[in-house]
Amino acid sequence: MRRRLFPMLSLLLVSLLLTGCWDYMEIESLEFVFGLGVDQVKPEVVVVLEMAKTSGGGQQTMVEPKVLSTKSQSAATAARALSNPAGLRTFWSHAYVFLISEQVAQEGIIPAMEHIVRSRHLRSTVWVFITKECTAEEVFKSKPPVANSVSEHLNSIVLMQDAISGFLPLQVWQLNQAFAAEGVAAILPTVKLVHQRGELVPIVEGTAVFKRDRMVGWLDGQESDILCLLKGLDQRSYYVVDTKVTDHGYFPITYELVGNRVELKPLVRKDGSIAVAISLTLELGVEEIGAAPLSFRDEKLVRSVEAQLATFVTREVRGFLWKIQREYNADILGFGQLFRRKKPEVWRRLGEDWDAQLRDLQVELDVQCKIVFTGTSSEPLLVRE
Amino acid sequence: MKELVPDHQGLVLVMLFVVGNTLVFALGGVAGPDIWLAFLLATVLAIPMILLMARVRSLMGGASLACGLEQLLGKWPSRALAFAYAGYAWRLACYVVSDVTNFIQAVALPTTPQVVTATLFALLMLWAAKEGVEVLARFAAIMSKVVFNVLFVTFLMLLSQVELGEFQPVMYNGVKPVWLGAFQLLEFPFLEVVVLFWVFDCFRSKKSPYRVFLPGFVAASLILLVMASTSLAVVGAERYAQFYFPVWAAVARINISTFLTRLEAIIGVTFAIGSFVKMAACLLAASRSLAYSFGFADYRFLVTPLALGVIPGSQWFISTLLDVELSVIKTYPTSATFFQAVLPVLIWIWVEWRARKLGRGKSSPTQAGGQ
Amino acid sequence: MFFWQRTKKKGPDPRGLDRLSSSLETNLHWLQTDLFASDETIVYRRIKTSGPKPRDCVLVYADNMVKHEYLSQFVLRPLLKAELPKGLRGEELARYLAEQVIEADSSECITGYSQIGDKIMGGVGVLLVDGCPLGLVVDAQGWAKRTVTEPPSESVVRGPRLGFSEDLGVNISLVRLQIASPNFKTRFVQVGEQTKTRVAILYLDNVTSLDLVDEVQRRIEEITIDAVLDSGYIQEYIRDAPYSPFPTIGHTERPDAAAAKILEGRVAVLVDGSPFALTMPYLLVEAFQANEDYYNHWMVASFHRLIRYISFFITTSTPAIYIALISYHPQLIPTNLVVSISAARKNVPFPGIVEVIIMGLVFEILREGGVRLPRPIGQAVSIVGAIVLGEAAVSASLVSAPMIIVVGLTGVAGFVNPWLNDIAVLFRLLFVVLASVLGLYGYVLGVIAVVLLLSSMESFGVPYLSTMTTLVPQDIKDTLLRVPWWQMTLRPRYLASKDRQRLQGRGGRGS
Repeated sequence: MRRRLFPMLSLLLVSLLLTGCWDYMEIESLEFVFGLGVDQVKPEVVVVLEMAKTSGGGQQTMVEPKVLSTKSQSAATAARALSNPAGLRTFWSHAYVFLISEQVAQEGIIPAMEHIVRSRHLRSTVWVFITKECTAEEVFKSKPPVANSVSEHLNSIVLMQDAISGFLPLQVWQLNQAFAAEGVAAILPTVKLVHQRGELVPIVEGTAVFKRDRMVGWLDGQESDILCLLKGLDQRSYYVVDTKVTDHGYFPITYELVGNRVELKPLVRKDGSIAVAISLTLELGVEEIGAAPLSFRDEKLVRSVEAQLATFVTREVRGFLWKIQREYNADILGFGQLFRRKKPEVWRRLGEDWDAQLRDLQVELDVQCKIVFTGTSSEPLLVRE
Repeated sequence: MKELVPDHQGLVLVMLFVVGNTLVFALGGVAGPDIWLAFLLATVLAIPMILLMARVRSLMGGASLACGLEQLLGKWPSRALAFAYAGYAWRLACYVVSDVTNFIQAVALPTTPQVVTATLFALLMLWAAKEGVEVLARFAAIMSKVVFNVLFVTFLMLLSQVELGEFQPVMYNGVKPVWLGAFQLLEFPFLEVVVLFWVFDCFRSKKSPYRVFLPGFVAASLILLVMASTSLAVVGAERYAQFYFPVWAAVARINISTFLTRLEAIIGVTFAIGSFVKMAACLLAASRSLAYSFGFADYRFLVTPLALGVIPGSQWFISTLLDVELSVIKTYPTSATFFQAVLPVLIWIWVEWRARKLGRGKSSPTQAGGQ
Repeated sequence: MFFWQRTKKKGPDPRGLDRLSSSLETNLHWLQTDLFASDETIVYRRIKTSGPKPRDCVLVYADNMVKHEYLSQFVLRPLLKAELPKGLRGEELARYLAEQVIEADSSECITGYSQIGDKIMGGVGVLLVDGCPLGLVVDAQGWAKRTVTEPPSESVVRGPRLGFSEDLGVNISLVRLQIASPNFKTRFVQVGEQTKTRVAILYLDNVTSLDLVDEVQRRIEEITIDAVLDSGYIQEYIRDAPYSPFPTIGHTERPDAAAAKILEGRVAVLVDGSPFALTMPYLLVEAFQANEDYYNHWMVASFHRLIRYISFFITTSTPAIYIALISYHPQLIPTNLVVSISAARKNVPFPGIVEVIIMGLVFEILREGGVRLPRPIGQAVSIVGAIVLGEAAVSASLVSAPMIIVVGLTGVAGFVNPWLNDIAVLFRLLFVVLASVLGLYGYVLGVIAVVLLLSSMESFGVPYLSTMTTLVPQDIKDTLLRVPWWQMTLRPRYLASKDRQRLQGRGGRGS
């Protein structure tokens, strides 16, 4: 028995192993898709992809981007149909970016992205963008100055987002989470095309604001910075503030956000009305004071500058809040979620018509600014008469 | 020949058994943000059952499973019991195998037939079960170092993405989801530990069963608690239950300085190893109890047919991922309640009564909860 | 060749017993025509004693097996000068010669005829005297010996430079030099029907469990084999898990390493003619321990040990993981890397799996080609192989550059653990095949199989993975790390030593 068992088992094993390598594929037979976009959902889905033609090998690897697009019944069929013109099996797991055109965003992005979330092939860490005033195809066909492909270009912009600010990068899974969560509205960064040296170059700036899965409006770079600020993200954005330095002189001074702490507190007032208290503590550095005769050794002056900064930030935040509460009525700061988590009984009562609640939600704002860094000098440039 | 497993190896066997094949699934998903409460509740509820099981084993003293059972329960009741549990353990082995093969198919090998992976796992567990519990425990002991270290490192890497707000509000939908989650956890995987009752042949001392089962189980449930809560806090309370494999999804998001990314395979690897331990233990339990119920001294000749039977069995009971989920909610609970809760309590009462009659109960200083 | 072994009923003794005759000529006749027939290396030195009644004597020895000057100075010269008293016959004569004439430091009497063959082949001189039915054995072994040198297979930067040689006696003395204790014991067993090789079992009386020693002796005694030319023969006969490629008996060429194992409670076996001592029980951890670990600073040693574990992982797993990643899970490779691998593989004609197997084979050929060659030529082989072949193969797009890196890394990492290198090749192949069928999960199944194999193995009753499976701190101290000596207060538990306390005092926790 024992003697016969071993050959039998090994026969079984060998026959299993030799009958096929079902999922075996050669890496060189794959065409790596770097970016994909959806330009249209109705009546047919238009999918664009940017893939990399690799060549060279050995010492030098050359990557040449190619853009393909197709129309089909659904995103899945379109994605598959693209393997045909590509000539190689398209491989989606290395996609950096996913672009959704403005038009699709306004109609609702769920049909455009559902396949991507469900599919095994795409990773949930793809960066999602809304193309503003252009289509995804146009973006993919633009010419980034340094990077090999548009997707890499966008990816590297995202990776240095804390240094350039003006947008909030988001991955597919974060978007999903925002869609799935109660009391939060989704946002997405936007891609625009700008002219540089006679060519179109994609840049990432601003934010698209969503209500459920439909885009309802835009935020520009400055407003996106405020959004980052309120979300407590580590973003070193610049603020240029006309600061009163002498009795009669206002000077534009550039500040950099070095650190920020945000606290959002849901409040329930005695009369049953609700409000949110936001306390912002900002640490700022001074990047440029221009011609301002500002000495940071003058403590009184510094206090006054800090106070002006606080006023500035308060004004900006108020403007921002007005926009999202009244104009777009989209809870992108997640006030609803805040209430749901911290004051569930309030949410139970008011969650049903949160849109109306959000419109009239009182926000108590407390901004503290502190200058913590003045570069390598504490004094203005000396100019002798 | 008695097979004696050192206590510390038995302990890690219990740990790996509990953690092993459950890790990647959306455990306690119904509880939503209160998942940690569900885990704690389930652990608290499971501990008396574990103690009860350890108590029965402890009453056997140093005797082997077969002798001990026969002495405590009598010949025919114990054999009938063993026969019932053989079926349960064998079916559990099928479940575990199909969990693994479905998982592998879903995340990595879509076109490879599940039969292939099932066969390879079945052959390996056949070997492991033939070698016996000592070897299996040693295997668990050495693999546990890999598995638990990987889990620990994964946990550390996930920490930066954890959003503690996901656990709020506490019990928004009342206690019902917590209870429901806890019961699901009890049934899969916590009380499946009853299978291990049939895996160990004998213990070093009367205290050993307590030393093996209780800390092993508690440690494993804590590990599961931590991993499940962490991944819930990463993927979001709302999304957690929507995924088939939330831990997998969470780990896929790890991104440490754009270099340490795409790490989800290590979760797959630990899952495969843990599941292997569990399926081998189930197979061992099934063959041992079946052999005992028919009065054979050695169980090894039963291992091969049972293991080969697992290959079609795994396809029969559960064939798709949807079935994996549905079985936990629909078909499994009835039999699970019977084998995991009702029978053990009955056995315990019967055994206590017999032991008192035989005058053995007094000699055991460790009452349930004593350790 | 071993014709003298053909024991015949016939002999010089008229009654057919295995005895010498008292007639010198009869004895000689039998020796020359029967026992040593047509053996020209046997020297028969015929002399006569002085005095009025000289007696015929013949000194028989094998050429070059004895110290010639020694024999002539301490045996022949006193014999030539000796005047034997009258009337001495038989045993008295022999005793007289041994006690009063021969100056050599040992001489004993033998009576058996066939014994002479064994003795002379063992390198002694046998003196036959007319009128005496006994042979006088004079110990004068003096064949060509290698001096004690540094072992080439296990060189160290720091540590004793002594190595075992082929002489059993010398080898035992080398170990004894390290363990100068009366508790150090030696048992002898003879193995090999033809070679009659002496095998010594070395152990520490007060530490090693005697059951273990008895078991070793029993297994050695049970060996039936015609010849033992190296300790490898013994190793294969007495090892556990004979079908597993992992070694269950250790071997070392260094007396310090052998002594260290004995001091831990292991048993060492020395075989005459082999410079390799066997140590048992042998556990997997020992493959990752080097004797130098214990002479270097413990932090450095621990680091080196870590490197060895990592290297073992690399050498067994890199090709399999590479294959799994590029053929099944390209999504797990970082994007930049996947693009360059894909580009590098664009024009390669072979599938990845074939490439791995071919390159692995080429590497093994180069290694095998270089290993037994004299060092300068061996280097040339590896240079030709590595640089010329590798570079040319890549340029010709026969293999991809990443593959060369994988194979090179695999090969170099293998040399870190010389004890496991040969086994690593086998498992590498197994893993590669499995990975090419099921990707990473195939690889994991392979790992599960190997660990199962390791878990099921035992060496002389000790589980092969002891110290790797336990959580007892004292046993772990010498596994992944090498803690300072003063921390290792106990001997390993798994050896079931009689006396576990190694150190008293500092840090000693007692057992």
